[in-house]
Amino acid sequence: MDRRWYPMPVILMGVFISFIAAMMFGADSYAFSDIWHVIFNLDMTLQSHQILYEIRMPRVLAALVAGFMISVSGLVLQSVTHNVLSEPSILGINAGANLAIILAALIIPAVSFAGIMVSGFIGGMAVGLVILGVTRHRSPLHLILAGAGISLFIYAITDFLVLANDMGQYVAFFTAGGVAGQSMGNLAIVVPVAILLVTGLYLMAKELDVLLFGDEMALSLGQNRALYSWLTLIIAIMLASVAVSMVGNVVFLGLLVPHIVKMIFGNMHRFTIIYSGLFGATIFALSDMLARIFNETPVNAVIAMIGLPFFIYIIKKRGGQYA
Amino acid sequence: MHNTRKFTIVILLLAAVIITTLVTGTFSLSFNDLLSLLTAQAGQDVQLVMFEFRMPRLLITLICGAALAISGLILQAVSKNALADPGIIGVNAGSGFGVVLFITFISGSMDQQLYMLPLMSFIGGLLIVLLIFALSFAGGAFKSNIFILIGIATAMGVTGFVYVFTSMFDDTQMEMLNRYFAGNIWGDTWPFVWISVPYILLIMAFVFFRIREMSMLNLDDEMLTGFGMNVNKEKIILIVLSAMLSSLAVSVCGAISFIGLIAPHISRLMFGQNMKLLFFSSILIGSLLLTGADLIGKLIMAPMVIPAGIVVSLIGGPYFLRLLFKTGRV
Repeated sequence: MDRRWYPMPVILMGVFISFIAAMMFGADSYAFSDIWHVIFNLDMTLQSHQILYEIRMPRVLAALVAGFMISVSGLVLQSVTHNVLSEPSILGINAGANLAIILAALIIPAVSFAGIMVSGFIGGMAVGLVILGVTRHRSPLHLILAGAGISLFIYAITDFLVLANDMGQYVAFFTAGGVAGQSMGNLAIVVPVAILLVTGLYLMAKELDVLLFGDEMALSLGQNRALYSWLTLIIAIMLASVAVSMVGNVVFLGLLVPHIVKMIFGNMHRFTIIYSGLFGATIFALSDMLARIFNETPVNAVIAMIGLPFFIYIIKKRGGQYA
Repeated sequence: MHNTRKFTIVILLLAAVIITTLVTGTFSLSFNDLLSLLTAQAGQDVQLVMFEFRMPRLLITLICGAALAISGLILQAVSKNALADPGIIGVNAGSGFGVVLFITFISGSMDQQLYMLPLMSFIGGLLIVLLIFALSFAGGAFKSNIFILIGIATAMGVTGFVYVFTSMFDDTQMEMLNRYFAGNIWGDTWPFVWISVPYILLIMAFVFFRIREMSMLNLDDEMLTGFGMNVNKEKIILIVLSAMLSSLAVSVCGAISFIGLIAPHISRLMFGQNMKLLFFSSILIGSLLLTGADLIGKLIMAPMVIPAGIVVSLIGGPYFLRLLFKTGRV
């Protein structure tokens, strides 16, 4: 076995510990034994078990799943666009998904979660592809500017719809981002989708490696570059927009995690896909835990606090590329 | 076309928008009412509507539009990038953070502490811009591309961070913040005029005396150093002025993006590269854009008022896209 798999047990352990910690700490704290009992012999007559099982567990699981999806999506976007600053929120996927979700909720007031997911995907896809189309073969700065400008524009449309229809409460959740109010039912829809998409990407790990090398290398290796870059892009956008429809707007996570993983484990997608996902899940679950401890602060604020210095660090480090 | 004629057209347009703004609204006035005001024969109700409601709002939109436009003009000159805009590079987010601090800690006694609001918003915006500026030096020289990248990142990050305190907010406080971010002209009473307009005019006067330096910044930094100009010092002064202008403006009129981008661009299309002409035309066009946006927002779905910030973004977004398509290399 490749020695780069050796850290795997440690990382899985980390995910497990973050799950337990996120279950234990929050607005109310519980003992480890409570968590243990909830997992292995659930007794719904106890109030603490009810709270843990029906409110906190879906929330923690949702954080883990969303962190996994957003990080993998960021990793793939960075590889395919050959741009270290690519990330779902920068590419406008969040803004697009947001708008489409609001539209869906306007047209069908009682829209189901699956409906929200699908509309989020359509919106994220549309905006992401427009921004990528505008900035093809241009500088990274161009991509970022396009993303920022178009996101501002789309948020203005969203704001307009929200104001005109008086849906402030519904939207505050998306702009702030958060995993509160998840149900096991939503998770039952998202988890299989996430597993399918990530498995798809994992099967294309080799193709992603080739894409990362650049167009010439892809050509000389006889890869059908267009096919694979579109396929992986679409899957990555799908992952991100499904995550947005679940947890709202999360910035920087998709940028931060793949960078850390690539620093440690190199560039082979066989490893980075899995490790990015697990790292992202851990970070998101722990950020959500911190957010809960600090008086239900939106989780986005916590991630932004960690992510912003890191982003600036990346720009400073790779500054020559953009100057 | 001669420049005077172009200026006349812009001024006429602006006058048209101003008059329409003054006569339309929930309480419609006629043109005769305006005339009677001038000759001091107007009724009490007309005077009340005009002086207590319409005038301060109009003044604020005029001056803030101009301030945002000049702020954008400066940023574009300093960063040598036609796509720079105070809203895109984080001034709005920084000011928003100041506003959040204000709402969190002071808003209970809103009326007495009104003067604190622009001050805090202003400090927030200024600190963010200075931070971004300090971070965009690489190898001792100011790198404009890095400035914009870090600005965008900071805008995203700080916007997320702003929500830190929102969990403690009640409904009215949340409403206030949402109004700020939607770019609703919230400071439309006389006190807001007194705490913002004089300062904006003062800073504009400072900028006016720096026009020569601004136009010279088009040249290479090395060349300017060769001419004996302290490039970094000039840039810092200009950026501070720009941050002051835009954060003062957004502190009374809410987070408004794109005016700082569009107004200088339209001016450049009309008047070429002469910085002095650009300065005055940007002022006029910025005022025109913001008052126009406010007017459209007032009329289009009356009696509901759409925040001017949203109207500006709805117009400015496509314009920005077009610019993006056109500029091959940023």
